[in-house]
Amino acid sequence: MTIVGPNGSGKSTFLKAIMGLASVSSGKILFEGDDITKLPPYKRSRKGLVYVAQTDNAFKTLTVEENFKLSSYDLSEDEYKERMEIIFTLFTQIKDILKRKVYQLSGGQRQMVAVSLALLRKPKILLLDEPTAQLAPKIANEIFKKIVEIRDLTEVGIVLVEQNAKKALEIADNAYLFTSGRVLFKGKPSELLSNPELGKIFLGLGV
Amino acid sequence: MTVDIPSLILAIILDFSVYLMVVISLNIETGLTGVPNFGRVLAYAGGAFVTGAIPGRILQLVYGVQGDYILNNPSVIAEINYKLLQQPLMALAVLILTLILAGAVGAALGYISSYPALRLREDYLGILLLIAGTSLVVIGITYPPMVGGTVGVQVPAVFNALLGRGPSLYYKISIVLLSFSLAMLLLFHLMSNSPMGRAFRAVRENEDLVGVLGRDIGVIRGKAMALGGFLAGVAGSLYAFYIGSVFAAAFDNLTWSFNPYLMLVLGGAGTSLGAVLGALVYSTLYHVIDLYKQPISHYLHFDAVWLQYMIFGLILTLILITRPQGVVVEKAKPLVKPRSKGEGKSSS
Amino acid sequence: MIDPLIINTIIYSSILGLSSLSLTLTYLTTKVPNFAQGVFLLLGSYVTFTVAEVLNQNPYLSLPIAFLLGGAVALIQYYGVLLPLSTRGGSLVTQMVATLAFSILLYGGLNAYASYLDYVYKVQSRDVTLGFLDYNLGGGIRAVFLVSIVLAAAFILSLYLFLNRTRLGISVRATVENPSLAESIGINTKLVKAISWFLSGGMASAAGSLYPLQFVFSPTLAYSILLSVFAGSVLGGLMSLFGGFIGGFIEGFIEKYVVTELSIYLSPVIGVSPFVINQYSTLVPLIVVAAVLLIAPNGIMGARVRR
Repeated sequence: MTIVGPNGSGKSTFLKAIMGLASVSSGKILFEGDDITKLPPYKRSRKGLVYVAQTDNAFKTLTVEENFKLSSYDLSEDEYKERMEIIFTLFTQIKDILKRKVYQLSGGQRQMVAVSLALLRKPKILLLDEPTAQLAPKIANEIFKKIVEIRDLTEVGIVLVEQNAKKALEIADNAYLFTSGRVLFKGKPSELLSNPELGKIFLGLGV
Repeated sequence: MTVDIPSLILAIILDFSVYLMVVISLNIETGLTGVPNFGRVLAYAGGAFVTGAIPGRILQLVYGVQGDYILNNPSVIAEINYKLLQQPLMALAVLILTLILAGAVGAALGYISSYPALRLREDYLGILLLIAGTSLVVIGITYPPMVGGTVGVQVPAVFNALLGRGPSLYYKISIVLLSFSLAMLLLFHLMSNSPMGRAFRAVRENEDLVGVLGRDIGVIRGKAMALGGFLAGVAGSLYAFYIGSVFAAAFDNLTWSFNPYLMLVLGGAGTSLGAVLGALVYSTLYHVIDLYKQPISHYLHFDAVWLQYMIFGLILTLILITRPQGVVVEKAKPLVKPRSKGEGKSSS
Repeated sequence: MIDPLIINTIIYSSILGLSSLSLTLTYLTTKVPNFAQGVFLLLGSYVTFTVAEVLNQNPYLSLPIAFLLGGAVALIQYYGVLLPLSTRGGSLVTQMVATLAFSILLYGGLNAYASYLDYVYKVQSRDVTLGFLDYNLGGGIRAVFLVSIVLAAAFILSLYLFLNRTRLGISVRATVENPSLAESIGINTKLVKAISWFLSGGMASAAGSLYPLQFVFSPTLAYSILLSVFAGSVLGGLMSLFGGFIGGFIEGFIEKYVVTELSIYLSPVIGVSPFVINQYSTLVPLIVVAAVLLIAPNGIMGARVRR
């Protein structure tokens, strides 16, 4: 599921609220039938809801391996190996940078680490907050490809928030358009892509 | 056991007046302008030390009294007081001039303290001001020529000379102190609603915005801390005259920086009523417990004064958790005076 | 034969180093400088006093007791004061003031205890030293000299292993760096902070428990040594725990050794007795903090921290 919309429309805040990192003034959040509105973030994480922030999404002063160990503390040896297999399949580079400290990595590599951290949580739903922001277009495309791979490989549900609307909508099953904190449109991405008015006003498509 | 109510009230009023002045001085810097001044004792001791060091020496010169001011302090002061009793006008002059000087010294100390405020974040600033607070006091303790080091000095008895001796002296002193503190309260209240007060509050609320609007935050803070320092210096001087002596080691952080800060927080920073309430609660608590010191200490098997500390600490802790703005909450005041018909634009 | 000045300096600096380390720990995890840190030291001192003077036991039994008691009180401060305040959105300064208020409560309590000992047991509990109850190791050295060094080394080593080799310790580092990320990957940051506070209070009290075995102590220690503890932390940079220890150690070194040597050197030059010059050691924290903030705001360890 992809959420698009102009700056300040509340997309990121929405994801944070689902995670519990932003406060909710009214309404409830239900996950698999349970009301998690009052649950602290770390409990939501343990339930399978995992948020990947736009920046500062990995511990810079720790090595990649230490980051992984932190994220996987509640996994058994076998589960850890299983998850790492998936990660190595998705991101072959990771094998080479395990011992490097995260602040030494490039932007693209950091995003890989960040997403891997999330995958180690055995997520049922992955909340991705503008993963391609600040990345060069070529690398951004790679990231989108990887997102599709993740979905195919692990059957995890993905909520993708993006500024880079066109590409994000192309890979999505469902689409939402946010503006000023409200949902303006929800439905099939193709509808959104083909609607010239919405496209022009809110997404800068075809301008 | 008969309770001596008049004495109790007198004791409370004396303490209350002194603390009120200190709390008001802090209210300007911390309450209005948002500078976490954990070192209030600096300007306060400054004013007291001026009082211990200067008027006595000057009067000694004027009256031609022999002896070293510090080493022979008791006899020098005794002779000065004898002469002073016959010259109330001289006493008045000494009082007024010393107060002005003490205020100036306090203001200077406050102004100097404002420099780090520009470059430091609140936690570092609080720590620095805290540590700087007792710097003057340390010098006072270790450098005898200033205020007698560990022995202390007596201060010319101007209140005696002006108000006469006898059993009602301290009642009269309490009225003097109370008047000064209420004058400062009025000053605070007027200032708080003035353009300067609004500028102070603006710096507290949103520094960057103030800068963007073209005003120098450093200058505004400097003014606030100079003003606060001035009031603290005057308060310290009055205190020294009231006690009749200056003993450097008595000016510790706990009594003159921390407790006043907590009184301010208790009552409600930024408001006049809050300052009054905080000082009143503390003084009353202290003296009521002190009144029943014997039975309480006997029952608890420890000195009752510590009970006061514990109660005060507990009250403050609870207030901070449940109602951090204090008992009296500052009403949000507009940063710019609203225009009314026919009025020109006002500055803020 | 070791110079008594060196002995004094090392004991004092080890105690101060551990105290600054403990202050830095709570500062890094909860961002609040704890005004009660000095009172924790005092707490430890009174544990030793109780164990050695009142109960006539081996003074070093107070080490584990002080550690646990200090840790427990710190937990009360965290859960009872800091956590409720931060959940309700208290500002940084408000939280600092809350630690101040709590310190007054504790201070009153410890003084009441000292007063109680006076009333009931008729023991002088202020301005005392317990050096005479210590073990003599010959050569002018008493046991506290060795114990302070060993204690400091033990705490530092344990902390290093804890922070780098245990999962909980890595969680602490993670929480310090990025609390919301830590929560996102399932770390219970509240628990991590509570554990940090426990360790901080425990270490400060344990360090404080050694103080009376070498020096004269009195309740005013709580607020007088606080300045040195803060100065040590600021000198160390408030960014790394080991910096905290080093900063505290150097601060102690300056206050004791440097000032004394300087006083001997300056005395004939300015005609003031060395004793008097030594009294000015209370100005050292101010000079150190002012110097650090002017020259190298990140402290001596600051340049080495990469972001």
